[in-house]
Amino acid sequence: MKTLAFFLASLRWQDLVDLLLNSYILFRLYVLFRGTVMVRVLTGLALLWIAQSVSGRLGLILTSWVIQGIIAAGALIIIIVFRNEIRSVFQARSLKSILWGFPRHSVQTPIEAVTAAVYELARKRIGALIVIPAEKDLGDIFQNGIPVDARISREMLVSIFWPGNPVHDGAAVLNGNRIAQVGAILPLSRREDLPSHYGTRHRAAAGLTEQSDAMVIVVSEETGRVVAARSGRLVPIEDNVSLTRMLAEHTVQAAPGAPTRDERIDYAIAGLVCLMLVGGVWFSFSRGEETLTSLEVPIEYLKPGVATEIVETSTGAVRLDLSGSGPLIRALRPEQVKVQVNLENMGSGPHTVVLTPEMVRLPPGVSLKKMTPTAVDLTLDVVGEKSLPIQVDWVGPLPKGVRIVSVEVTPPRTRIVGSRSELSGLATIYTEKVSLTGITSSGSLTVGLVLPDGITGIAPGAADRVTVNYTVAPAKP
Amino acid sequence: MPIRILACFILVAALLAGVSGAEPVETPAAPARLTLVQAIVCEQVENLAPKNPAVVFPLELGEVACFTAFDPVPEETVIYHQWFFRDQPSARVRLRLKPPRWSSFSRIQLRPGDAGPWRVEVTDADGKLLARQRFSVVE
Repeated sequence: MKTLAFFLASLRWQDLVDLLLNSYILFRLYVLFRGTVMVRVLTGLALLWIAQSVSGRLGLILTSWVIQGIIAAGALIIIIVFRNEIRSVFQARSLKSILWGFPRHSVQTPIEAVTAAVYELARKRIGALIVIPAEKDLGDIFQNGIPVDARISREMLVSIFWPGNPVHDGAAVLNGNRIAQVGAILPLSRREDLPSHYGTRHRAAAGLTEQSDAMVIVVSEETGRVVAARSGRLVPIEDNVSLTRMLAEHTVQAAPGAPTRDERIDYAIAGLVCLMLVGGVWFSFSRGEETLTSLEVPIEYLKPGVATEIVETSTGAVRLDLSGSGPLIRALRPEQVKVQVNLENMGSGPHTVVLTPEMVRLPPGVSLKKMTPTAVDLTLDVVGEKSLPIQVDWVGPLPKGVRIVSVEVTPPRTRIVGSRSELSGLATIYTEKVSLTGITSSGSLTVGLVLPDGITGIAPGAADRVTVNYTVAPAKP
Repeated sequence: MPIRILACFILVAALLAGVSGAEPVETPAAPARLTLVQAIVCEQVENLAPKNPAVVFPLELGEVACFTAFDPVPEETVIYHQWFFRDQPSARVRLRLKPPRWSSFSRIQLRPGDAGPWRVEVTDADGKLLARQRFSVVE
């Protein structure tokens, strides 16, 4: 109990957001791909992953390795094989429906066909019993129908109840745009207040609707009158318009956006499973066994003053001893760890900065155990600009028989930026090395400049390349 | 800074005044300011004249000279030839000047490791820069 309390107390709000967010993402994926083969394949992969983790823990090296391979290949195969399903899900839906809502895959019952069939049966005095289910599963109430799974049409319904048909005495159960079952025997109502002219069909209609939210249409064989039953009530229907309206009202209850009770239960279970699955993964990543590691991390200095620059530091990196769960530590990359020192408001001159844990940026779940060194000495200097003459840095050998008697550099000067202390010691900027090989007559060339160590760079707008015009004369003894 | 330099020197006009062409020339009115009329880097100086002036010298030459000529020299004074290798001071030579005009030079001995960009600055007794010559020594 104490362990649980300690665990709950150690949870950060980020952990809860992490858990809920990822659970919701997983849940949404389930909602979007529900009913497709992909969900089953993904479930299989998840079970494989669990099996791989367990076999790894048990030390079954080969099994773990094989399952790992299957998962890796499976992930790739899923994307290739189910690319059409994935594309259709993301292309056919708006962003809102991807992030929210419960898409229904239900198909609307063709009301006009049912109405036409009912009134044709009525006109011909053929008795009929048609069940249109709503949310409740009728499988608990009766299970004796003959499955047909035929598309609804006027002709099909009429032929089912044709007196010569072996199944004409039972009820036809519709499901969406299909006739799911025929010849179904419905439970009879035990009510005694039903009118005496109502026969067995009416009693069956009342019996079913007393126990479910389905709607049942009855066509009297004797009178040809149409009666609709809902919630145990039998309502005579005068014309096809009334029947159409009543059917429309009934089927709209199952319109997209309103999940049925079974779907709600399904979604609730899926949500719970997603939460547990993500919780398990999160726990294994963040609260697994403690692992230690050491990293050498360069120190990042955040902007000193506007015109200030670091000219010297006692160290460029610190050694961090880090701890965390095994998977997190193994997945840790050096670039995820930062040590940042803010030099704002520090003036020129030497400083000693004490390194604190607040200066260390770590990924979630990784903690700092030790930092070496604990302080860094650095010297700041004001950044300035200086104009310097440019000199060509010739490299030999000088070809025999020639002398270079004059050199003109254009432009003759450039401006560089750097710390004042570095700039003060500079009197010349040299070009890149210019080879004398092959120079036998006067000419010109373009060459870049070499920045001395500690110099920030060439000032904006100043030359970083120069033209060298040289004059060659014959060598004299 | 390793001691690399050498005797750069000086055969100053004072020693040669009697035998060289740097003799004073009588002028009706002595100018008031010391004026540098020539500053040049060359392979050597012969008879107080620069020989083979250039801006690139091979190391095998063994030495490089800086020749300076002043006209007029209002009064006896000194100037300095300061030699720099890659912006670092290498040698500083003090040269005496005598009225009414004077030529003088200094030179440096080249050793392995001296290849690179050089400059020589000519300053007066107060350190005022009179001329700057840049050159390179190559292998």
